[in-house]
Amino acid sequence: MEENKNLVKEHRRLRRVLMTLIEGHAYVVFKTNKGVVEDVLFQGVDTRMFETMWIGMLIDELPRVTPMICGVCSATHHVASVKAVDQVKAVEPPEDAKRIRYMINYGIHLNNQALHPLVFGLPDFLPADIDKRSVLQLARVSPELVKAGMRIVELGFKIVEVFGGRDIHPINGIAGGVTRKPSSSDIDRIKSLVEKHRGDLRIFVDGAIKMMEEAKAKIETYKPGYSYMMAIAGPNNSYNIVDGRVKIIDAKTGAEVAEFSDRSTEYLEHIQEYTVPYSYIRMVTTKWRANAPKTGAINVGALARANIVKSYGSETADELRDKAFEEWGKPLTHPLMATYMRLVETVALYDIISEELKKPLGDKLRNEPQRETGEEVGIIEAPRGTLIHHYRAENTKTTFINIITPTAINAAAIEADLGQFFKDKNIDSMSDKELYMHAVSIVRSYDPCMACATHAMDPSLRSSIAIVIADNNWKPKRIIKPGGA
Amino acid sequence: MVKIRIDLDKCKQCLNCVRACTAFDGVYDEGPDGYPVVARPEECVQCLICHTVCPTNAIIHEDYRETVIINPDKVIVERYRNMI
Amino acid sequence: MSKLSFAFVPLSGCGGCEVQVLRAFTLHPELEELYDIVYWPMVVETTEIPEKVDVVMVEGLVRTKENLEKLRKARFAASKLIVVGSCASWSGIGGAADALSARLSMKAIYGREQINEDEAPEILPRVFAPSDLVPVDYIISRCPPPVEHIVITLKAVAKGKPVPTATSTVCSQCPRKMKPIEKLEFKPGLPGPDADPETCFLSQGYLCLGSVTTVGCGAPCPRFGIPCFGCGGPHYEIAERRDMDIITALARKIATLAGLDPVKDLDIVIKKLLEAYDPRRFYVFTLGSEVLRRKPQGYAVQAIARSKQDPKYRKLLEERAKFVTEQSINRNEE
Repeated sequence: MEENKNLVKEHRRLRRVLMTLIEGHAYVVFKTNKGVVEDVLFQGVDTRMFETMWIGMLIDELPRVTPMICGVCSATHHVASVKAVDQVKAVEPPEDAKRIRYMINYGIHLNNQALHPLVFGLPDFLPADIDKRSVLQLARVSPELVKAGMRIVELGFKIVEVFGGRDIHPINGIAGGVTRKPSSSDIDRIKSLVEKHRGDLRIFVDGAIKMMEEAKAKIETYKPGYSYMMAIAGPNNSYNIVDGRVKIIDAKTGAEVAEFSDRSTEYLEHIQEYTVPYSYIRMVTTKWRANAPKTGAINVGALARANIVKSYGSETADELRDKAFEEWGKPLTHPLMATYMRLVETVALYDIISEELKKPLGDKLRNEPQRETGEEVGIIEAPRGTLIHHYRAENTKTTFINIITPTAINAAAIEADLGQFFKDKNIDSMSDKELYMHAVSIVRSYDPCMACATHAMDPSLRSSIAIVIADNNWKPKRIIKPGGA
Repeated sequence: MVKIRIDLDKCKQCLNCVRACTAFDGVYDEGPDGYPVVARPEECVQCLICHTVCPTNAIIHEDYRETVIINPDKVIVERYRNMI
Repeated sequence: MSKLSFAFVPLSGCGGCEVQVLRAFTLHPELEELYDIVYWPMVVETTEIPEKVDVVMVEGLVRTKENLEKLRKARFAASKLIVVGSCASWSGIGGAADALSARLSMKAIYGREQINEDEAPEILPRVFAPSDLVPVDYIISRCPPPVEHIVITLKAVAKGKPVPTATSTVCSQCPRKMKPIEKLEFKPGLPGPDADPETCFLSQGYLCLGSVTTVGCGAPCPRFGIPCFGCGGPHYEIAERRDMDIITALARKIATLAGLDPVKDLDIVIKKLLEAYDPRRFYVFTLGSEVLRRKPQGYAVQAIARSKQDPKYRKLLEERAKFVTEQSINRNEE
């Protein structure tokens, strides 16, 4: 018995690498046997209990509370939350209210899709020999690109502020509609800003795409490991990030395998959450692969949307996307191409927003809720993918909340991709820097928003690489801390 | 006498101060423009209830009473030093 | 003048404050001439806090043991420690989770009380605001703090000047007109379409925390027809004075508006407020803060005790735990 333990101690190890340049903190854990990777895990290490904290309080107040799940995509949580509350209270918002909500979501998508390449995506395409790669380094290499990009990011914030009331954690949505429509002077201001920054959009997108084209070899290095892709599409697979039906396609063939409603508990019949012993993220898999959850990993986000949506409703964006399809084939599944698709979406959103701003807004903003008890769901597209808010209320009081964030869905896909790349490689022969570079490239391409679920432990306490001795079931037996204490 | 100032930039014209003042005649009055005015500052007993009922903290009492705890330690030290 | 080193330490938070600080740096390039960023997981690729840093900003609340260690390390390293956001100053929205038992909540969310002890950091039984645990130099409150506040603070700190502070409340920037309350009655929930867009929410009988919340946001929520939830944290007098609590301070204002005596009739108003609203509603962003939990009247502690002991909530949590376990697959058996 003792001997057996020693044997395990010698061979099986966990290596833990802290991720940077993502929102929040996460670790990638490598399980190795004699240095050869057997399994790679993506670990989120914290929770703030959003799913229980508002139990017993008014369901109306949830759209004010749930945005605080994430400060980066708060507006999306707000819109999803208010959509779910609408369903619970059985009320359909008037057309104009819907359009204001669309604008809130468009604004935050524009903001996030530009922010990710700038701060997290493109620094990764900088040459690996540059130390401390970051947006600040990127600004040194191509200052124009970063300046133009940041102006697009700010424009996104402005749109959310005008239509949602606040730039971060907006408030305008309420059960049955919205509370106020923006004044015409505010809309005019946004209109002129949108026209003014068209040049910035071109500089930003062209510069970023050029950087990505130069790094084609790097993109090719990483192969997808996930099996499915999921996104919301409007009628006729049009680009619609608030209303539509959720579609799941096979990542290999591109064929549609499932479709379900974006506003009822139907989602429970198609996707399944499962908890894992090492992470505060509840992983997601497809229902029909529940017995082997790893094979049912779903990719959500810009890449999935690009494959599912037929047209963005913007010619330039469609052209850019189709160019990528020609080069890489369809369905396009290389994880790093998600950054490219974010740029495509930035272009598309810019056109959609400037079109939307031209249409006048009516005065009917709210409908009366019909009931106080119910259980329904609101599913929309967040910048990082499909976001599910599932509420139950009894007599206006919240009794049940379940929230599945895009990062939770993507966590399994990240694991699968990491596994695809690292499996059977001997990481003892890799330098820390090399290992780190490969791991973060994959993780960052998903733009994981760990704020939605997590934050990290102190790396200096356990050092960024902790050695954990595990038994045959991968249950850790002993942790060796740096210093040998 | 205490000096009372009302910051009109902050004042919401709710007149809570007029209603709440505990002084005999009341320190504040409603002015012609709807803002409260300090009509009888000499009445003020410095209870500061107006501060706690003002929704915007717009009332400022300048150099109002400061309570002093008297403990002139030095005198005692001198006395006992002489005894030794 | 040499640059000051700058580190940003995120604890359990939403990242909104990080985004605001990043915006401050990108919108005001002059800040980059004052500060040299040495640690910030979201922006630079360093993974360890240096031994000595001139200015450290902390975001988020202390939820796990690791958060606590990280906060201690940040304090040791920092010459000046700035906490940003409601979470770090008053426990923020995360504090609201304290209303229910942490163990039961974990069970309800993950199907078990603790994620594997060796691999994932241990969850503390309650939430702590960093400003309650370590001495801090500056607090930039609000959820999220405006970019301007961050810029002004960083500039003043770099130059060694005092940071200007305001003493007023959100009401002073709210365009709604305050009117006397005719009938003391409270309406639960958010204002409906019939609410008057020009009149103060308190005058109309809705709960609005504007008059007890510190100024600095420009009152966007009341402008959009949503009452203030108090994301800026309590007004400084409430934080400083032991005889004032959020509920009592608010009740005094409401009583006077209704023509009652702010001292003698205080209990009547508080009773009515607590009948109409869950006491947690007054502490949406401050429930975890020691400042408010230690008030002599103890309304915050009562709010926590009441909801923690409520068998109804317990049952709901157990139901949710069942939902999770039914859904779950144990990965170990894979």
